[in-house]
Amino acid sequence: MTVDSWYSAALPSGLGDEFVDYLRHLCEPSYWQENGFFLHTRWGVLLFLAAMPVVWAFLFLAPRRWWLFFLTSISLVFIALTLAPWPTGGLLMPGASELPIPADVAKAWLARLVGGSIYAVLIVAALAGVYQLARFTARRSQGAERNSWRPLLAGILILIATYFGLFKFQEYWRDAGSQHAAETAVFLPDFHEAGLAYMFIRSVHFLWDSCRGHIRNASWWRFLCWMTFFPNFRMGPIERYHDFFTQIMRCRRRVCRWDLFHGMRRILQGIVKGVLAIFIAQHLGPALLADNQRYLEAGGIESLPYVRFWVMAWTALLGAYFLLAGYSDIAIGLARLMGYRMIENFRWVFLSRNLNDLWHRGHISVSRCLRDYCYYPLVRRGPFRRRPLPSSVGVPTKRAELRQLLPPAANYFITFMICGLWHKPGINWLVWGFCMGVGMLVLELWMWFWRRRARANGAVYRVLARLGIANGGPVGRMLGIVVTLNFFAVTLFCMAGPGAFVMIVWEMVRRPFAWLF
Amino acid sequence: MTADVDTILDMVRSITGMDYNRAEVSASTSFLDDLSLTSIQTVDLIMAIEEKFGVEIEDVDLGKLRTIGQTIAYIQDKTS
Repeated sequence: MTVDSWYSAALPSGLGDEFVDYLRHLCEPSYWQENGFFLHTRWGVLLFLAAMPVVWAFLFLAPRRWWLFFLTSISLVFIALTLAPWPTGGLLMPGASELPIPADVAKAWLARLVGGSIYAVLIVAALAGVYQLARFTARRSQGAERNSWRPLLAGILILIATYFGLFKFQEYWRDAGSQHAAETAVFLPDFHEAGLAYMFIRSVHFLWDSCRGHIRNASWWRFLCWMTFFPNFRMGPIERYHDFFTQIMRCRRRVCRWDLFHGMRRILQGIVKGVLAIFIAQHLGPALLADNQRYLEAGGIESLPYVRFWVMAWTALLGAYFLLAGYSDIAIGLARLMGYRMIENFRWVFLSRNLNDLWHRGHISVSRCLRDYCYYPLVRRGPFRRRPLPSSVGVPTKRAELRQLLPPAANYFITFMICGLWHKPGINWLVWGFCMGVGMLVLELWMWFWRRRARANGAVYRVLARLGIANGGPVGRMLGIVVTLNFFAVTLFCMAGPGAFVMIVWEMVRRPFAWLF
Repeated sequence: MTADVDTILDMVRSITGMDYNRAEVSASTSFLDDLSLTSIQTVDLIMAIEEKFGVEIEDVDLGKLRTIGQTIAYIQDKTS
């Protein structure tokens, strides 16, 4: 196979020219007006940078007691301006001009401003509900005998029911809206676009830690300030309550020129990643799908070049990475401009040597919350809890070790399926969570297999260790990176639906061995 | 019972069954990156620490115990 034929099988023709055109388009102001990838705003991050002098002025000049109040106010203004989803809101939302708003410019702006304000008020009202729920359950938890878990679980269930109830309500109205004329359509927010998904995780953290006594006497203003902090409101990284206040109260004394330098550097990194994410979402992805359609119409899935499957999987992986990492970089950079050092959300994720490592390197703040509020409680106290082998057993048998290993692995399935449902309640993400659970189970068995080999220290193991394959050697690590990243990329095919996912994976597994049959 | 690097390393050895080179292990050694503990093994280690040192470790604190040094400091803080 020549390089040209390989290239034409992997990518649609004319993509190089399209990329050059895309880069050329970056120099035009209309690009930045249309592609507000950050917070879905027109002009994106530039709007926030323009507001930074006001933030700095308050940072240095306003009295200390006004700092949190000011920060909360400016965050709510940004939420009103940028995230309000319906026609009258979303002052700076891309596509807002296509929505049914008054033709008169002044009236249109006024309508959007009113709509945005209503949205901000609704967010505050929802947060007031979460705050009161957390206070109520905390009182019940601490008043109960033996520090009961029941009030906490009841509170968490109320939060989950509200979240999924709102989601279903949103889907219902979206369907209703699409069936009627555009004038009567009701535009409710996508949960991730409007910041509600991350608000949900922060709410669980606040409720949980309040009930367990880690957060005490949290005032309403502090709670509101932490919840609505504008750099990370929409897509994280999720800062824990105490970490936030440890940082935010130091900002006034700490901001220096290095903060400005590093903040701007991170924002630029984020913009570059965002530009790539937009290219993948708006050009590469649609071009691949259109080209795939040509193959599918010609001869079904069998006619699709094998390399194309991997290109699609990696396109999805890189698209998701650039979007999330770009957003995180900008959030971290914006916070750094105020002297606030936010938690890192991605740490060399493409060097993950196994799935466990991947979740410690990628989407760190969300995976930590899942671990602390879902996985660890389940594995320590849940129905499939970890039970240690009695020390009197001596060297455990293979069967005893497996019996001890397998039940707790069910918690991986539960945790990742919850993670999937949090992304979007539906069968696609549920299947994705199940695949992640399978991956983690296979990893546990794999590690267990090598632990047994290491203990036995046989001749084969010693040779493999010397070759750098076993015992954490460099070759083994490289292989681990390749397998992990490709596995994760393939699981993203779940977004095409369970049936298509099974068909694609079967084709990817079958094709290399087709010569055998 | 005092918490030190040797004690924690012995506990990790008994959980993983692996033999680690003591010279390469220090307070900054990471359970995940350097000792290759899985999530389930981390839970085993926490349960063993709770039993051995008589401390209760909250779920939300588990994430903070990433290195041997952090674990020792946490145990000392709890026991004092």
